[in-house]
Amino acid sequence: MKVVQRPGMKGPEKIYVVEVLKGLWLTFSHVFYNLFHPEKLPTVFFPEEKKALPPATRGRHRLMKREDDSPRCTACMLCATACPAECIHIQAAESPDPNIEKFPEKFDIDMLRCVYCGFCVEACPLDAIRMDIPEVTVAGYTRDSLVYHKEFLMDHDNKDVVADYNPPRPVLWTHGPHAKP
Amino acid sequence: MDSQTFTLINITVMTVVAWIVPLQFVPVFIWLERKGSAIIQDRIGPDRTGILGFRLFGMVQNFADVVKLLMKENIVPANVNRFYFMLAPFWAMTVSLLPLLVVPFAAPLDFAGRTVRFQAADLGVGLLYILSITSMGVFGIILAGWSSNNKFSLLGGLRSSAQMISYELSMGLAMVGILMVYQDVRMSSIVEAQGRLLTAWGHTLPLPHWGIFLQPLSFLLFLVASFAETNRNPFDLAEGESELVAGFHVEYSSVKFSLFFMAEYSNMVVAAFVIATLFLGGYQVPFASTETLRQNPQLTLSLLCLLVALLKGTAGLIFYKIGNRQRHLYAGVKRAEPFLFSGLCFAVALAALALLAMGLTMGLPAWMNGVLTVFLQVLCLSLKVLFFCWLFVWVRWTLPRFRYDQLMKMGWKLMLPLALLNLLVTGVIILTQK
Amino acid sequence: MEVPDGTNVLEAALSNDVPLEHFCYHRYLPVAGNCRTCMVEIEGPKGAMLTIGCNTKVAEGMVIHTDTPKAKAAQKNALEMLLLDHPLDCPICDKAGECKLQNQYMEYGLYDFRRGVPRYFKGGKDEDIGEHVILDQERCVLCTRCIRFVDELPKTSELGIVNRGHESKITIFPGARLDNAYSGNVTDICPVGALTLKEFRFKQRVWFLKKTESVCPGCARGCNITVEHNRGRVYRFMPRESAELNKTWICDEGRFSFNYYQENRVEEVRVGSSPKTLKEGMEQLAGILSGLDKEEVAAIASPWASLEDNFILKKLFEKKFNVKNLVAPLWAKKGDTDHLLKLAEKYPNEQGLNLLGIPTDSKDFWDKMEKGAFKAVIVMSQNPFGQDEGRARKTYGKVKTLVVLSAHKTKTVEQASLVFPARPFTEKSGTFVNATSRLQRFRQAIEPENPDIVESSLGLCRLAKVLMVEGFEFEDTPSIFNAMAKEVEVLKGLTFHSIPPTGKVLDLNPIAPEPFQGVKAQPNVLGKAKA
Repeated sequence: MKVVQRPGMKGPEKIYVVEVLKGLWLTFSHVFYNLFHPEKLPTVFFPEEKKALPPATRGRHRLMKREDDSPRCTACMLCATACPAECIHIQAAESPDPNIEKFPEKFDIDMLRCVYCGFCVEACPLDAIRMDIPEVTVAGYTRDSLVYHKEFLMDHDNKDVVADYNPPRPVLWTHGPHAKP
Repeated sequence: MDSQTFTLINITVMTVVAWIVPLQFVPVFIWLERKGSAIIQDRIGPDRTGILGFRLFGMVQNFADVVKLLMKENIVPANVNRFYFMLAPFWAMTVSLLPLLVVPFAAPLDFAGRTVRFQAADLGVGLLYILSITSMGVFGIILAGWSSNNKFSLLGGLRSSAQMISYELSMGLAMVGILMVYQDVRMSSIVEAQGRLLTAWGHTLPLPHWGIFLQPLSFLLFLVASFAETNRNPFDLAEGESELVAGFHVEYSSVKFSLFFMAEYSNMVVAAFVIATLFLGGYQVPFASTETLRQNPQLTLSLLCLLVALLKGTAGLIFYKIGNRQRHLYAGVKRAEPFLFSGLCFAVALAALALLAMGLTMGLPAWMNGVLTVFLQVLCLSLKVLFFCWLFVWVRWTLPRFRYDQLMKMGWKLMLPLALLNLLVTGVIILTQK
Repeated sequence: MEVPDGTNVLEAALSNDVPLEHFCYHRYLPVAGNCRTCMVEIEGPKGAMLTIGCNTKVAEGMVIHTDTPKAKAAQKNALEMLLLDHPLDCPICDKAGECKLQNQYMEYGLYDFRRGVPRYFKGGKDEDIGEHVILDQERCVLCTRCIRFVDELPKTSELGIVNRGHESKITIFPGARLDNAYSGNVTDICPVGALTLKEFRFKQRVWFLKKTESVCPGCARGCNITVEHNRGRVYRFMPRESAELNKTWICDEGRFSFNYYQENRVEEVRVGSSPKTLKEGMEQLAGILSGLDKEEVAAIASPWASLEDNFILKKLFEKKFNVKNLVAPLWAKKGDTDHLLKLAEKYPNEQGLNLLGIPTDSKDFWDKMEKGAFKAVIVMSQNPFGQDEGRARKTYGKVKTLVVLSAHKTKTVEQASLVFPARPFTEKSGTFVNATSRLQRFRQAIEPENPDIVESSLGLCRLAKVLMVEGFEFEDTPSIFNAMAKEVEVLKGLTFHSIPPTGKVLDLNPIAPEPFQGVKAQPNVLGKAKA
């Protein structure tokens, strides 16, 4: 075992004065510079100014749609299975579309429980759920308002998405009557 | 009006002023603290709270805080000693407002045959009065710490009292040095004595006759001790958040907490006033004694106007830059406000310069001499006080907190011997001068 | 390894923890041998030869290899053939998670298709073939387990294979529907997701379900089941294998009764019409009871309640009141009965009453009650007003305090002056004795949210505590059972946890015949090796 001595104070450090003055000079230099260059402060004026989020940002969830605006989700519940926070609640039902067997009658994400791990996106075999809406202000006045329902999650036609987010979409059925994206 | 009534009115007015000044300095100080800490740390600081879009560069945040603190529940925990628990914040606040009564804000002015004094009480024991009043401030903290019936508060109160007692010693000894050189404890006399130039062994030096030059070590000791006395970083062990939650005022909320909060800041304002008065010549303008200023109104006017123009010009420039930074973010009042203030500042600066030009070309009426001197001296004192207020902020956001053993070691083993040595040397020099 | 005579190779392997793949083979169905995945290598005079394990009986000195490269390759090829036209819609398939094909697919690592020709689609994604069952032709691997089941057990034979070659498919015969009383079982034995239950379809993924061993309380048979539940909700009852009793079958009536136990529940303690906490309710009841003579208090035990509930009620009456005022009338309507499992007597615990000596004959009791001898009557898990309301009104007319412990809202609950919510069998542990005298244990699956909902036995223990009667310091059901086992002769030496999972036959007279009368329910010899 090696005993490491504390460095301690040497010489003029012992009466603090010089070190204190050094510290004061450092902070003063910041004050002086910042006072006359307020435009160079790194602070972002958040609601008015928005930083461009990096492409790997995990934002708010959205449910992808097929061409006919029905959910791409087939309610397989793999996202709910993968979810470590148990925030996804799906209720499956028989789809009205004869070519689709199962669809989510309810698809709720409890944002108060969500930990933004992105496992649901990883788990989805159909790329039906993505986390690429760059909303970082998920807030509400009631608990209920933070449970996002299917309709809200699918309403993203006019919303920005995180740039360059385009994961390769898995192809399950290549041909046949049920080959649908 | 006979002279007694006049004196009574004078004293009453100045008492009120001496009460209001620290109370007015407190919000400014808090704003200074917030903005100062932000700028030191490359941040922006409070910026959002506004009334009708007017944000006053974060000053409105203070209103919000006041409203918040007043609206909060005024909790008195069970098992506290109610009387002392309630007494403590009022005690702290009251004591912190008292010392300014003996601080002169400007030189006495002879006006229409009467002497107007800018000092509430010109006590013969002025300095001792300050010393005794400030030492009473520790009661508020001890009472709060003890009566809260809480371990953290008690520890905070204990630390605070030990610290105050330790540092009051060096503080008093540092003051003794001042007494020795000025040979008086009356505040007005001490300030008046600082209006001259420094003379040593018959030679006049190009330095004001200020405490800081006569007693540099004493100044340093007094400065450090006043940091300790006001429980201010790096000596804020009484409320060291990381160790004691909030120290002596853990159990206080709402108005009672805000009283402690304000007392703390007004204590610092008072400390700044006292330091400025004892060591930086109080209201004295450097190199220009009261007589000089009264005899040369042009000089007074130029100094005053140039000072105002410089300050307002700088402020205008900064406000303009801030406005430029934010112009693309907002519309309406929010956008216009910095430019409005910037323009106002520039206008005042220009007005000051115009006034200066007018005064220099057209000459001044005789009664203006005295008034201008008062203005200049009050401004000068305010600047000194603001500088020390800023120093409090500056030091807080630069230095880390001392450890308790370091605190005690420094108080007893470093500052006390130095203060005694300072007295010895001062005494020797004074003897050799005679 | 030595196994009983007549055991087939596959069964010998499975019974002794030797892994061997199989699809079409089912322990309680006749061997078909059509999937060819249980290929093994058997050493013979001409060298090792491949054969299917299910249809080969073991013989003296036989040497069988299950995991030689040759056997493995044969198994793998058979599996790949099965998978050729099987859709990979596992994410939407309700069998996913308990699908034999899926498990083996993962095990053998056949991740890539080798099919060069387009897939053949049989069509028929969701054919409605019965009251409870939906058929998906595409997923079917033609193992014929379902056909063999309907042929052998209910003997209704609704299902068959039509067409030939790759077009062959399972279907119902024209005009027939899969509506027999055991139709749900075909979905259990289907190794893929071809047959699914309407009642479970899309409701929950099977990997979310927690399984609790239990006993069906639908009739006196007491079939072994697992209660499958998630987040406080039961999603299905599944049969639990019991070679002695129900094999791997249960009737549809029992299977689909799971909703009954979680609907129409009594949610809170009620005194008069005002809700109370359990403590307040018990104190009020104790106040009423202690103000009465011990002859004025009567109780009705129940053949639906567990052994423990009845035992505690009886014990309370022995110690505090008169045990002669305790009866357990059997007044339920007779149900259907058949030669397989269903019994007409709908009481899961009638034998338990006999065991405890609680009389089911109650003529004197009613006479006394009608005369007004009883001021307070405690009714546990019974519904007298639901059977014959007119008679019940007359009978209970002079009873001042009618106390009901019930899980469900019944007519009796409406009439009661004090109501205590009880737990159904999914929410408590306990034991039943079935018609063939088999003592069977069920365990608690879910915990009700309201802590005031306690099982009847523990509720009565609390009452005893308030009444200052000693001997009721029980914390849970197992300890009640253990105390009961010390007192009751037939149960001597048993503890709650030592009851075998499939139950223990007690020394009592059976009140019903053994199941599977006239059916060859055990076509294969179970080949557990002799130690």
